[in-house]
Amino acid sequence: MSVVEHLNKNYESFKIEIPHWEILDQGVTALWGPSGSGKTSVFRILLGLESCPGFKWIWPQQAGKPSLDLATLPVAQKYLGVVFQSIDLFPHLTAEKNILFAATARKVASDQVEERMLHLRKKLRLDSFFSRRAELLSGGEKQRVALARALMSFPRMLLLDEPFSALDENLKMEARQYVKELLRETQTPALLITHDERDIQVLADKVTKIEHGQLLSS
Amino acid sequence: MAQRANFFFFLIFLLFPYAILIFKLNSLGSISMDETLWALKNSLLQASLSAVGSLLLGFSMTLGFFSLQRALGPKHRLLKLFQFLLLLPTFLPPLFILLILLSMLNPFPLGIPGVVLAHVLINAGLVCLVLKTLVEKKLRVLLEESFIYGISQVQFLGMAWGVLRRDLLSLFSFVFILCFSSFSIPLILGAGKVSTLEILIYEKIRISGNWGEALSLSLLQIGLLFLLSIFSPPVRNQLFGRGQEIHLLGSFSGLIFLMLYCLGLPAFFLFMSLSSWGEVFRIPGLWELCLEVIPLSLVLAISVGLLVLGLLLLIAYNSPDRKLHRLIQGMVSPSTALLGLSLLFFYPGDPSWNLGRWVFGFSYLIFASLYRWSWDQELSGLENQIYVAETLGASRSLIFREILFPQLIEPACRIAAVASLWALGDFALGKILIGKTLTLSLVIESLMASYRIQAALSLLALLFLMGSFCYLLFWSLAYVSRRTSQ
Repeated sequence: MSVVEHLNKNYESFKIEIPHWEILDQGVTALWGPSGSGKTSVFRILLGLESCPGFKWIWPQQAGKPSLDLATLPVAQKYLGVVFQSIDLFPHLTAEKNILFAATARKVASDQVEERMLHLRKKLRLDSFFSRRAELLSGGEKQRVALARALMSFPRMLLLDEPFSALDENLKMEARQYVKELLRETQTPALLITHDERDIQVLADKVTKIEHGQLLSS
Repeated sequence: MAQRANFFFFLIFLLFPYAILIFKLNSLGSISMDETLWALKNSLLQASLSAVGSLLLGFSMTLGFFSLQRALGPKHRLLKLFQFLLLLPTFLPPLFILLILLSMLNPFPLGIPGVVLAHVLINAGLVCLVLKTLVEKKLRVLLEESFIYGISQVQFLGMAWGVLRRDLLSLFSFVFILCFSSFSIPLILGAGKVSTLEILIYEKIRISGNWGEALSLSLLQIGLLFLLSIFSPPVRNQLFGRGQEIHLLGSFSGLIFLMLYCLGLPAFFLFMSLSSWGEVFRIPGLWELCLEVIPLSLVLAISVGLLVLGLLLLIAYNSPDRKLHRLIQGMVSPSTALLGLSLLFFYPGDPSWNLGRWVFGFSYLIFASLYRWSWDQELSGLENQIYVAETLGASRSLIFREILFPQLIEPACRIAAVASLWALGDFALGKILIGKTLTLSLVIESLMASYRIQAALSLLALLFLMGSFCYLLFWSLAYVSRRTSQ
């Protein structure tokens, strides 16, 4: 279990107050709430894209390594995988190069890269558009590439911000299934930010509701 | 750390002319009040009239643009061409407008009327496009409702004034500041009849050699520009809903102005420069002089382009940097005469520095404008990709190499090409720093000053060709860099 503490921030129109929040270090924790409830702000603060003085994110001791406060680390050193709502692939690179970028950034060993890539290609059925530039991919294809890119660098946790919102209804169900299977197979814990109850039904092991910047239930 | 070093580099770069002038405060000379007040009065008068004229012509052409938009349909390709032609006088070196005016009107009304006319023609196209955007952003819903309720165009314009009053004032201030610190236009068209503050500083540097007095005048000008920029109101970004059609706005006379501006001026320029081409060979020694100055002109222009390219990529390497963005956005660019003076204080009396000084000075002069014009938008468009790459653990150099450079090299080279085109056409800073006719634009300026307009026009076509060469060069650089980076 990782623990978030003192995540308090004032915005012009509302404020976020999260004194204590436990996030699973195995399985999927969902942060669920309506639009404007502060989900994306929490997501950005966790990533370090927005400052939040006093906030702590304690990652537990694992495999002999001491516990860590992720909040104090620069974004690059948090070792998180991310799929943004807007997906944001690098449009000038091919699907393959987008995925490999994450491995290069984290300096993943080449044998691990090869093995992981093979697994992701197969699982996410990337072959038909593997050499195509990202700007030419469809919404569903982009989503799969973004997921592969996020998992390529063996992140300590995957953060998913409304990952299915850009997909058609018929693609969403399929996407939820492969995300669920991949997270299980790669044993990657995830934090899912969503407003969609169906995401929670399929994916979440723990649900936390947020409203007006405050956690209501865990 | 690298980001902080980069910020301080640009801080020093952007503030250096002011810093040099402040260090030289002990050289301040007393100024003649009569002369200064007269120059100040001229500066204020020409800038006010130019700003009013630009707004009036710009507004009229905005109405014309809406008429054209209605006739062609809102997404017609020709509208893009007209937008480009509207921006052309602002983005081409002032030499082009000066020569068109001098050859079009004979005798040309020199003095304040001539200066105002040139400023209006240079700025009206830009004003037209800004007003068009403002109307589309802020008045669409009001326009549709007014159309439904049968309100006349005059009544509507009365209402629009209430909504746009602050923006118009802001636009007026923007054009006013541009014209107030304009140097090249009053230098040629003032023709000794009118001396603005800029011209007075230039005369103190180059004619009477009284640098102390020039310094005092420069400080006065800095103060005035600073006050003007403080008191100019910012544009509000408030939007008023979403509408589709702009039925009420349109004007036939505006359409005629638009056509004359967008088609008449370039056609006249092409016709005159082609028909006067033979003049180059009629004036003894002119062609030989041209052949002599072309290589140096090209070297200087390309150097400016490369320096600007380097600066743009340096900013990109460390982006996003909010502090640096605010610094450049809020920067009040010094006038040409002021920059010239501060550069002359730098290793004075060493002529071997003159060309380097000019390259550096000219790049400085246009850098903030180029950043605001386009680079800022290019960078902000890639911000999300930078965040994604950072969360994936990428280093600054990897982000630059793999993400930013391949996507930015093309727009960066395009901006560098514009910079080199402007550099080719500059005679103002060259006249202060170099003095002699070492570049083609200085040759053209000397022909203009001696009223050999036909010959000057013919050389302008040559300048245009050289500009195209520079553009092609930077385009090729972008192509090769992009291919090798992929």
